[in-house]
Amino acid sequence: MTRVLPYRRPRVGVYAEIDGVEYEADGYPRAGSVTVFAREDANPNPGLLTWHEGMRAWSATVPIGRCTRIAEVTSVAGHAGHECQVVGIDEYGKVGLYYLGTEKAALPRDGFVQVDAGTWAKTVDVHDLYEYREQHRDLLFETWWRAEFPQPAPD
Amino acid sequence: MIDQQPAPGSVPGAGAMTQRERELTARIHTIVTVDANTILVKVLAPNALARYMRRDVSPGVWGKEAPFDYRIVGGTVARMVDVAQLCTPAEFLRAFRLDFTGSPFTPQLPMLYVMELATVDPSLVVLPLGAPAPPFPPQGYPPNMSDVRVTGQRMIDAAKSAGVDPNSYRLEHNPWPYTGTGITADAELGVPERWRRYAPVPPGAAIVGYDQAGNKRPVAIYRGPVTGWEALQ
Repeated sequence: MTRVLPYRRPRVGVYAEIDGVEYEADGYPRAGSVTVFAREDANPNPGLLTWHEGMRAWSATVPIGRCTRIAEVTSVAGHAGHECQVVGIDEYGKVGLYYLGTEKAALPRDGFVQVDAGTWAKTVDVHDLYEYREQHRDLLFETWWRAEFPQPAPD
Repeated sequence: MIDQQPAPGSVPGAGAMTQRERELTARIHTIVTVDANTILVKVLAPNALARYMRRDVSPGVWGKEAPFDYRIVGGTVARMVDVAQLCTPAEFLRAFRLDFTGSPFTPQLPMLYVMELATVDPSLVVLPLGAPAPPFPPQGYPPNMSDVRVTGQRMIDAAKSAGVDPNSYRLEHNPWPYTGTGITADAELGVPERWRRYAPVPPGAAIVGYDQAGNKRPVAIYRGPVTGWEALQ
């Protein structure tokens, strides 16, 4: 039985949760607000989103206080003992990897190629990955801890 | 000289310094700091402009074309203020030591493209400190790996002694021309380097081109993941 999956991997971007619904954002929060958008044909939330002609998408700019969650999402996986960022997966199961670790001297023997300053890349088969996961970086963490712990902890 | 090819078995860069010299070098990184508003520059591979413009998302083809996603940028970056004196492709190649094995960069490139972007979140970038290591052999480690590791740890010790923010750096062992000092390996044009995680391009980032005559011109601006990169002019 074919199971319908909700989105194509790998995901990358900034995502915000508003009223319990996750939306993709057009970038990091700026000046205390974030702009979210939806690409559906019909407006999925007329109470929030309006048509943005420039983006050709449904869009809203909301204060970050309106969001229960804002996260930068990237996708990472292991390959041959190396921690990598997954950059793209095509229809044949080929996967692009960027190395994330700290021993780049080990990479040439494992088939990684330096493609620009600081970037070592490899294209592998999806079967050669392990521990694929999304990495969600909480972009509201600093806002939260500044509110919760305005003073340093006593020694 | 820091920019000369190292002798086999030696540890160049941080390995060619006394501990006092490492500490003095590390002190630079207490001044060269990055905050949310710092503008960073990233030298782009010669084919990257076309790939950004056509909104390419691809796993690449091993040995032929690198993986790519028009929505992200990462790798070695520097502060724009530290590269203000660079005007030509050849100068950027020297400053960032883009003469690595298999490099697609040449000093004769008619135009070199550079992305300029706001830091947005300083935790996206780290200062790579440590020591250069030879490429690992098919089995085991290079013969001088213990020297490499000791040198790398001494560079970290130097950063601690100099008062560099401990959340701003990490220990790395990379192939030469990585120096391990956080400064690229050119005696005249070397620049303080950072490594940016592969994270979303902030809207408002720009791609500019530098030609052989030293002219700089804006080429494209990023409008976000929906609109992508917009050509200028």
